[in-house]
Amino acid sequence: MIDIKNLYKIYDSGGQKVAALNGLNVHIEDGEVFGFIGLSGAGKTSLVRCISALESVTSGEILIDGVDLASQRGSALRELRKKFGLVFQHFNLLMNSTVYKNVAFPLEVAKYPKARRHERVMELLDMVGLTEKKDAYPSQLSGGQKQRVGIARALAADPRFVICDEATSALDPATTNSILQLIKDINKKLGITFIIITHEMSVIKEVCSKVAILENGQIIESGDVVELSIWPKTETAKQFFKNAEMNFNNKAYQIARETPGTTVKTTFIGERAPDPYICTIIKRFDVDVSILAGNIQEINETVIGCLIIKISGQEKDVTDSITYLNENNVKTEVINDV
Amino acid sequence: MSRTEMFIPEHWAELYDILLPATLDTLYMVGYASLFSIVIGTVIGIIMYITSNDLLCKKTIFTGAVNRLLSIIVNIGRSIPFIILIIAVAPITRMIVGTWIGTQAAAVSLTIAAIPFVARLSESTFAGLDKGVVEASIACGASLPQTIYKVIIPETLPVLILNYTVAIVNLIAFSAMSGAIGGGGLGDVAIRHGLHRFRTDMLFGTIIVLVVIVQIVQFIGNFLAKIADKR
Repeated sequence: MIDIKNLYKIYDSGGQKVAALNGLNVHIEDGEVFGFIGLSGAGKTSLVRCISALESVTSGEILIDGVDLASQRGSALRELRKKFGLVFQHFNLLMNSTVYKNVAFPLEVAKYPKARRHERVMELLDMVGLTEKKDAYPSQLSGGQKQRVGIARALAADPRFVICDEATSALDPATTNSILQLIKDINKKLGITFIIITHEMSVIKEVCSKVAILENGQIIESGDVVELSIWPKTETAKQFFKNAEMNFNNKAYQIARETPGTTVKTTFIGERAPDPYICTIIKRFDVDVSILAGNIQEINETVIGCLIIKISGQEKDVTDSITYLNENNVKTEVINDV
Repeated sequence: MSRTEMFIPEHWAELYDILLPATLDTLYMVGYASLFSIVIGTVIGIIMYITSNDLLCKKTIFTGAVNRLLSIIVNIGRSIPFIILIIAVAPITRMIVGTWIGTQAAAVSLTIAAIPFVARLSESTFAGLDKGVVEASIACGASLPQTIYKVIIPETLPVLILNYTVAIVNLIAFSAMSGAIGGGGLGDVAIRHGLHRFRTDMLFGTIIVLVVIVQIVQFIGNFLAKIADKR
């Protein structure tokens, strides 16, 4: 469990104080895949560096199972660091060591029993699918393979938490996807808590169960990924989740807007997504429904359907239709009334 | 000496008698000085590197002072002309080997004079190492010695080897001046016999031997660096 309370990180750049973290509070439960998303300069990197104790904090607490990281020094700090595994954007592998030695490195550092070291390294390489590459050097690997080594290394010394700092930002989409699947699998299999730092919403939607949106060194909104994607409150959150919505600029939509009726954005969540609500309102109430745009997406394995429809008919029927949808847990939002 | 005299057998014998011990003296001085200046210089280079790196060693007034002091000493050592330096370090040499004259003393003087050069070379090699790798090591919970032995040295080894080769070749050149303190060696032969006795054959003889030694050293250096480099 990680509890961050009122965290400040202030850099002194030439007499000017720059606050990278500005009173940040967050709570991360064990076993979660917790995402932090923010634009560049939001404080993501500072947050990672503070949590992994690569940088000291200005004030505030980082409680790891109740122990304040910020107050530890020397060997006590090194012990706390062993609870974390770090996966870096640019891999940061030992270029002059083989894949095997890279994965064995944290084990040597942690004084892992020599007799079980080999077994452990092979087990990790098997987990990330690189058994055959054990004697290769990082320069002989592709980006995705390098990151797999990075993940195996992060997992080697049985960490409680793995922090992925823009771990997929240097990879192509297909490789990103395979790395994210690997993270998901490991989280499920081993129950290790993952902290994902990224600027890409697609990464958050793919793996995270919780998300916090960072802006100006603070968390402006956080919570369940699915909920946040449907009901974002702040402008920044809406911006981030915008790509999740559909394109309003198609021709059918533009033409439909000019005809009378009520345009409604409806969102279906979870198991209800496939249910035939549109059919039901057409039958029940005397309304016509035309579909203007729509998509179905999966966020953290929850299906979310979104349709933009135009309901036309008697005013009462239209209102009743919308009420019916609301009562059945379909989120509606009237975009305009023509 | 005329051109024809160069081919007189006695001259060949003399050339051999003078050049062989001189070559051995040079190899002795350079070998000894290379070994010790590389070891000591690298240690100083490491200290300079870690005291300037906030990640490896918390910045305090003490580390700042150590870094600045070492840097100043290294700069002073590097700015004094070598011929002056080997004479200037004579008192230290005498403390170590009891005398400041002769081949052994020259080897010690060469070592002391070469340390600042090696220190600066190795420091800049370490400074060129990608910070991310050091970060990864620290994040694994590695201690400072572990980071030095398992990460910093192995990761910079190919570049270190090339830089050590540069230092050794430099030492070969520097050893030519050791005649000034009675150190002997090839440089001494070139000056005393080649220059002052107008023995062109001696001069060319030393040059050929020196060129061969430098070629061999550089070849070995490049070869080892290539083997060590897996990047």
